[in-house]
Amino acid sequence: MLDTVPIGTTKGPGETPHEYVFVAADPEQRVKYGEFVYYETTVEGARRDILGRVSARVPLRLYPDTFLADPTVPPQEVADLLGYEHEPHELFQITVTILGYYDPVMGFVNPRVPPPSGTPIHIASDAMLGEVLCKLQPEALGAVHIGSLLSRSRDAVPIVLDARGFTSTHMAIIASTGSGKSYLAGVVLEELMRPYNRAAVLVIDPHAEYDTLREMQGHPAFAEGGYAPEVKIVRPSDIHVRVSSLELADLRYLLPNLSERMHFLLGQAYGRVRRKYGDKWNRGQLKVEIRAGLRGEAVTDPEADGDEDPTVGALIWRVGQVLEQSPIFDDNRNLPLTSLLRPGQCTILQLNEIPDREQQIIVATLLRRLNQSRMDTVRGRAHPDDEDYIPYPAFVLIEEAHNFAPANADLVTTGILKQILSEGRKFGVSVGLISQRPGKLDSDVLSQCMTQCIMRIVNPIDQARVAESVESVGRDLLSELPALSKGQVIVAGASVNTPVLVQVRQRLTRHGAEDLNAPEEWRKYFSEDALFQRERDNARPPDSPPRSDDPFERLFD
Amino acid sequence: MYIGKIVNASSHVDYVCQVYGPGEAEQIPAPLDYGFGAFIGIEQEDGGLLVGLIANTMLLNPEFGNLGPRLSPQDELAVFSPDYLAEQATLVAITVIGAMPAEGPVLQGVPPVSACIDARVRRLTDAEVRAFHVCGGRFQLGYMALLQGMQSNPLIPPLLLQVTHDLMGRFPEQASRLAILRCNLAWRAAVLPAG
Repeated sequence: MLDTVPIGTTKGPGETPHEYVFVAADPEQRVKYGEFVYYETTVEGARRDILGRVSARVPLRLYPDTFLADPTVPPQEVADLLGYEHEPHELFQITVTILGYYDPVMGFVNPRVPPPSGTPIHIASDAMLGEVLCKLQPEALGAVHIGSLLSRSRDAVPIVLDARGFTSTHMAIIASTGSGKSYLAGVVLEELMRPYNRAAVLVIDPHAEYDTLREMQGHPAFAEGGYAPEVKIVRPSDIHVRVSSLELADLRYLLPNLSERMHFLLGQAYGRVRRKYGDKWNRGQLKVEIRAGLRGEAVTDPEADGDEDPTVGALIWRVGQVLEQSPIFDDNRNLPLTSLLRPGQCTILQLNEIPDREQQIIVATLLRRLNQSRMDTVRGRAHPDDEDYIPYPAFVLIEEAHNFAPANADLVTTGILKQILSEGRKFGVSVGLISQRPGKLDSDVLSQCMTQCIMRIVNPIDQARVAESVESVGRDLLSELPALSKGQVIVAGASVNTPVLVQVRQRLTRHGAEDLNAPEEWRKYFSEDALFQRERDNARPPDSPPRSDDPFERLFD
Repeated sequence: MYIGKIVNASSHVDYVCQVYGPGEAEQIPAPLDYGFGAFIGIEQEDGGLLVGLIANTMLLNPEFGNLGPRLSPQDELAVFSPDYLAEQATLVAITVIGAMPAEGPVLQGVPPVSACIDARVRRLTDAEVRAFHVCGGRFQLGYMALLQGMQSNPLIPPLLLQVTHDLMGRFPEQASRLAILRCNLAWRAAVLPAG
């Protein structure tokens, strides 16, 4: 036994078979929502501590309403007047969801019988929780130490995710704006790059807010022996998609509102260019095949537009507008996977300033190539000299995931994401999805992320989506969502033994997504330095006449 | 210390005891001897005791309301009509909560036998109170259910509070258990009715 003084006494079974209720005076208010308690029992001849989580707390003995009439008179004083001098007067009925006893192999095993009435209930000690809530201890191989148990003092019970859980069955970080989801993602990335993990990570960063992770490179906490993590930031200008990596669906997605005839023409041309040139075709060759028309007539001059079908001309113009005007698409250059993904390297792909559709094409082609590469590697079809040879698992963290797998819409990224979510564990490709609008995220995609980190969510639509998609989190914990503060997260799923409420730890690197302080920026405009700078910038030569107040005259100054 | 004799009963457990007045006993009982909530014993012919609690007090005074003039001065009444004084009496209501037979174990709750008219009532000694509360080697309050069932009597809640307070002093080793009981009784007796 780890805590000898009981906190309460069992009253009886709860409303559901896996609940029981106990009564406690709890004058020190130790029995908080989400707190872990246990009772002792014997299961199959062995003494066991049956752990449970507090899910409700209802007062049994409240002062009469009339005692509360005058806020300046405490109700205790009124009770004293009546001769009631007993302390404490409060009693609570506390509902506990039974988790069971912890078995290192089976996890939590529910004894399937509630405790008898009168059984003493104990608060679980920090040491006990440290052993049973998480599969790993901090700094172990695969440990992702994200923070500490919320119901205990900071750092008393470290909460450690098992990276093996979410790097095989994926992860979702869901939270409303400003609740700290990017901060948590930063913590997870830091842990993945620590010397005990040395992961191969790609971050899809549409808002360019992860570049502060570069501080990991010189940080002593990340170095060990000859190891130091590499953080590679790929700017939008460095991102290229080789057109031959585009599929017909990608082209159709890039060219919205094509007529039926244009669609057919594009399909014919794409088929021919693939048959002729395989995986190495370019934009000119595609245009030649479009110009060849439906019948596939030979074209001698791809730029000649004499008496061609107007549909052909329009399609060529559209293809040119998209594939040639954008700096993203290139005939030869591509982002080599081997440079993006490498153990001990965190690559941040900054997609800011890139239009949404092109962002989606970039992500879709990258994920497709990565998945194919891993499939080929696992199945022994890949060769070390191949351009996309990735002989190790990879983790891809996708910010603003609702833009890549939205509900009620089928984007180019949706299909490949669903494929990776369902098959990725076999080939060592895993994704972490971050979204501030789970209501806008495809429910199939969300439900296949088996590790969930859910932070404050107030929007009822988003809450409903989380409730329907996240099976491992009980209703009692989901009801906490609107009440969570910044940096508090519910973690559930494959990476922990049981859902837990966590206070996210301090980041080792700076946070890159802090809000701009507009009032401070406005005030800076009137600072002495700024005034002096403006005066100097607007200064006129000493022999010039004074500046006129008339804007018309100033035009001729 | 004898405090009186049984003169009436309204039920199997509710008796009326007339407190000894001057001339009725060698030692007149002091008011605290038959105070509210005191543990008393009603002597049985077989040497056993019915154990009870003083649950109420009534004063009997036939002179009440008789405001007319009297021929005999008050201090001469003892000479001319000595039985007249006996009509003024203190009656206490006793609720029987168990029995201590001459042989056999203590019984808490409703006893199988009743008391007789004129059975003598005495205050229990501290040792007898302790013995009554230890059944089968364990401290017990098996008579509480009987008292709780008499909630229509407005004096029952204060009686329960008085008894638990008394027992906390006699059984300090049971104070934590009795405190829970007393706290609950006090809440229901003092706070809830006021709301």
